[in-house]
Amino acid sequence: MRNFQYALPLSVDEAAKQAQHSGAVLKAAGTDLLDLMKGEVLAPDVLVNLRGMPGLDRIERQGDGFSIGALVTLADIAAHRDLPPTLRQAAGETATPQIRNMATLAGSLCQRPRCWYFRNQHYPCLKKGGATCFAQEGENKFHAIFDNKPCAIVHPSNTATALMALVAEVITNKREIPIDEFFVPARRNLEVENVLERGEVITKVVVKNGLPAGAYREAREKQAFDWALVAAAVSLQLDRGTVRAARIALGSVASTPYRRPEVEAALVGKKLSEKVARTAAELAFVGATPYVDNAYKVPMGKVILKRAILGAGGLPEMGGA
Amino acid sequence: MPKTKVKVGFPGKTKDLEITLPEGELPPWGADETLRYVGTDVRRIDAADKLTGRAKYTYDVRVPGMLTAKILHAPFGAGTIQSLDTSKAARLPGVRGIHVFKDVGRPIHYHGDEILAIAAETEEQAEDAIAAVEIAYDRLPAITSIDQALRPGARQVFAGKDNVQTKQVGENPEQRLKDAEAALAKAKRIVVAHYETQVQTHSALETKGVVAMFEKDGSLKVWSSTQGTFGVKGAIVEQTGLTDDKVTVIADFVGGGFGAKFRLDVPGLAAVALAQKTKRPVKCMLTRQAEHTAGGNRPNSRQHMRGGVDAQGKIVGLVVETWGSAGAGNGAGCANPAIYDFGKTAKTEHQVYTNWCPGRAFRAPGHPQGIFAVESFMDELAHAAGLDPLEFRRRNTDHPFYDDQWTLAAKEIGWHEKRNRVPGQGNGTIKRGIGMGSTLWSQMGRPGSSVDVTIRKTGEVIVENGAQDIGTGTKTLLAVIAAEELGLPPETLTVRMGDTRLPEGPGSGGSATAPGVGPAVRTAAAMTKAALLKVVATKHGVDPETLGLRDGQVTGLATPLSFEQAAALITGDRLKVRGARGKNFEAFHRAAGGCQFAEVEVDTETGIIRVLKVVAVQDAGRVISKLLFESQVLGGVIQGLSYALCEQQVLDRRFGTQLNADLLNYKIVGSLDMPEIVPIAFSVANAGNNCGMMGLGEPPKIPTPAAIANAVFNATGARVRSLPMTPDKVLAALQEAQRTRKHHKGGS
Repeated sequence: MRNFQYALPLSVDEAAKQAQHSGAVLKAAGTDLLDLMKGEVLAPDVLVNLRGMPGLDRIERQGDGFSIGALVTLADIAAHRDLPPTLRQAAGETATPQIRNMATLAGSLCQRPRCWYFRNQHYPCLKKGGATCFAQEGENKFHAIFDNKPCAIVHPSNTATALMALVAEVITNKREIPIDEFFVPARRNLEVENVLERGEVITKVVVKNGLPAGAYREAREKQAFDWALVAAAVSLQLDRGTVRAARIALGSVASTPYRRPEVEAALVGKKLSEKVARTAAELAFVGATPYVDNAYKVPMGKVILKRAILGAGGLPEMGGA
Repeated sequence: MPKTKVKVGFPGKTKDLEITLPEGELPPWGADETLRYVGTDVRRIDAADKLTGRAKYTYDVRVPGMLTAKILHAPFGAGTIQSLDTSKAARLPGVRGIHVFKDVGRPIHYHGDEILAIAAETEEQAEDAIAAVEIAYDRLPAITSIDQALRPGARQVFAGKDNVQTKQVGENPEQRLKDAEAALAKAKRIVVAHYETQVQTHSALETKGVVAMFEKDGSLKVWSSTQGTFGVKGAIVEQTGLTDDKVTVIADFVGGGFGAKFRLDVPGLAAVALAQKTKRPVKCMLTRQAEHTAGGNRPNSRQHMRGGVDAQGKIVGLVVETWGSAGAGNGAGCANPAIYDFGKTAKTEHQVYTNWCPGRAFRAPGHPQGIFAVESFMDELAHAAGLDPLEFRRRNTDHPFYDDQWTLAAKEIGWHEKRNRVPGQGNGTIKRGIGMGSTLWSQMGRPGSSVDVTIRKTGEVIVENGAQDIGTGTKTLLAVIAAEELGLPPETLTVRMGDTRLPEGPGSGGSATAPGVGPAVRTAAAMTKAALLKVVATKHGVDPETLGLRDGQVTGLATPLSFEQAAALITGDRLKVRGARGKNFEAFHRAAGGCQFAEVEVDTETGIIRVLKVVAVQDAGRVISKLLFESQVLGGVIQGLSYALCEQQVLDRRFGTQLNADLLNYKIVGSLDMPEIVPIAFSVANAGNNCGMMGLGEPPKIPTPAAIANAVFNATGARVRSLPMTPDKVLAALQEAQRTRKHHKGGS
């Protein structure tokens, strides 16, 4: 780890000013940042600790929805009874209790990809300004199956997937960013995963309560502390079992939480059933372009999405004996 | 030599065994003997030290003036060092010494291969210096799989040496193969199957490391996180040329070994060399990353099996071909065939060189991988023969008590009620099933250990042996044995281990520590007891033969005399007696048997396996401490479960860099993955040594993967033949099973 300057701003304005430094990196809980710095993937000149900003650790009602402070922990989100189930479940599935007690919502949204080539200082990959995506011909079991060229990362955040399936906005010191416009596909910009600019600090996330029914489901290799192999977040507006509106996002399949508008459209007007959910899930994975080692994500993803749709609708997710 | 009879065996199956006791050896505890402490729940005597942090591991050692050394490791798997310049690093603040392992022109054989070490005043300065080393490599494409290594024209991992070393196992291999083929030709059913296992790293919580300190008189004191204090001492004597009496190795507490910590190793070589060079104490611990990449591993395997059964469900023959790679090292054999009577067998074994880190001994070397194949294959044979897998195993072994153990485990798991008669029966998404596997491990301990038992005038009792307790609870075990002889509660004894100034003890390999040192403790304790009672007898004017020790009292006297009062009678300040371990003698059995039965739940849509319950019945000869027994079995099952479901070293196939050299992406099961584990002690009064005890460290790790794989088959009808059984592989196996079913339906 390299030496760095440490800044502890006590207001959003001050934080934004500190964040203007070239070579400044923002830190919330630091659960991800510490690993990146230890691995020499990031070597900030100035580490701006955001935890001194007051008042950003609260969940408050706002209109028919909620305002969630940037420093609210995942544990607090998971425990909050009134937040949409999609978001609560996604937060509750993340990492370990210890990490959930520390990790913040803003930090969760801004964490860097888990790609093991990106995280290894000895691989000058595309994302680090190099010429090659080593995953394409390498070990790509956990990589993207959609929109996966030239870079194969998946977005690592559970809460990002959940928010994408909600009507939400990311609020910064500068602007209000609809969640649909927050994430940046690797295809468009290799260096970043979101639209935040230098000197821009997330202050809160606003979740509008337009779609009351929802579910987040994921599959992983072990149950204690693992990243999702594939995840699905679904929010629905239902009228006596018939879908009036839907938002669907897939996680761990692309460089951003991956919305599937055509699947949403196909669900609207349908009476929810196992068959409807299965058909929608089939449609959601049309066009996937998996690599050698991650083709399993297609059948697994279909199942996870089907279950999330059924779960959001309050229907049984699995066949009985 | 005196012959004597002793009752051996286990409840329901005991017999009188005539044994020839070596000179001066105590007769073993018989099956009919009532013991006060042995076999009971004795708490670890160092539990409070560990819980409060008073226990000092090598990691915790800090001595005045100590430097910290860091190692530069090759970041990829194959190539040559083209240039190396340490001048810039040497000029950095705090840098005090550099020790080069590999210089320009030397080959790199694996990710983590050691190039040099730098000692500096602080850890951070040492890290900065490592980063400042200017090094360039000629990089080569790495060979990271057995396939790659075997490909015609493949680059030789070691120039001038074939990538594969092939050996026919057993005498007269041509005849063996002919006999096996002849037997198979007559078989009623033939099964062919191919199994694969992955590379597993030891992942001990304390990484390897050493603190080396020269004393003013030129002697060397070394703290080492090791499972072989005396072996490390020998290596230092060899490296430094110091005389034996000038070197001390200390391992008060060791944070796990699992087979990877026998040697002085790279951090030890670095620390000693740099301490010599700088005249300062030097500490060198591996990083977590280096522990994964350069610290050794369990080699991978491929096992091809072709076997046949006759109409009675007897296995008539087996032809086995195995491949394994211990990377740029040797020792990738598999324990296959094993456990059962496979009739006529023939085996070909291929050791393959690749650019992986050299393999090392790892908790039952060759066995978890071998027995995964053996026990999976037993299930496949049973299925082909149309027999209950348990009944099928009964027909193919003459082990003296597997049947008793299987019956016990079957009852506990609900074999007859819960097992699917037709594998994969039922239509639910989540399916349950039950499977089993067995284990066999020979370890009675060896002669060579000595133990000092001291009774101080204050009544304090000290048991001393220089071997290490690597976390298994050896100190407690020794206390229990001494306590039994001395009639004192084990927790009142002091046990000192992990110091080469104390009497000789074994390296902790092959599960040999407990049965190696334990019998020496009993001998030494008995001798010390006799000496104490002689003192008492002289004072009281009675025959020492009439006296005994029990519950902290001297028995056989007219007036009460406590142990402390007796100790106060000692002339001088202590009684100290050394006892040595004798040779092994006749035993009820010589290989510890055990079995594990697993119940699993498989999500047939996602391929996710959840292990619900594991019943582990295990023999270790006479169980000395029930809690320590359970702790070993639980640890074995958990490590076996983790190996079965998720652990796997991942190397980049092109450059040979390990991509998951941490404890996040190198996946080890956690609390949410835990099944209910039921350890059942199958204690056998065994003779063989004076405690009748056997080693237990390794056997409980062996059968878990097979028990789980067999349960997955019983649940789903899908056979997963590759470890770890990750969801992608389970999904593929489920699809394969479905195709086969459709094919059969179509054909009938």
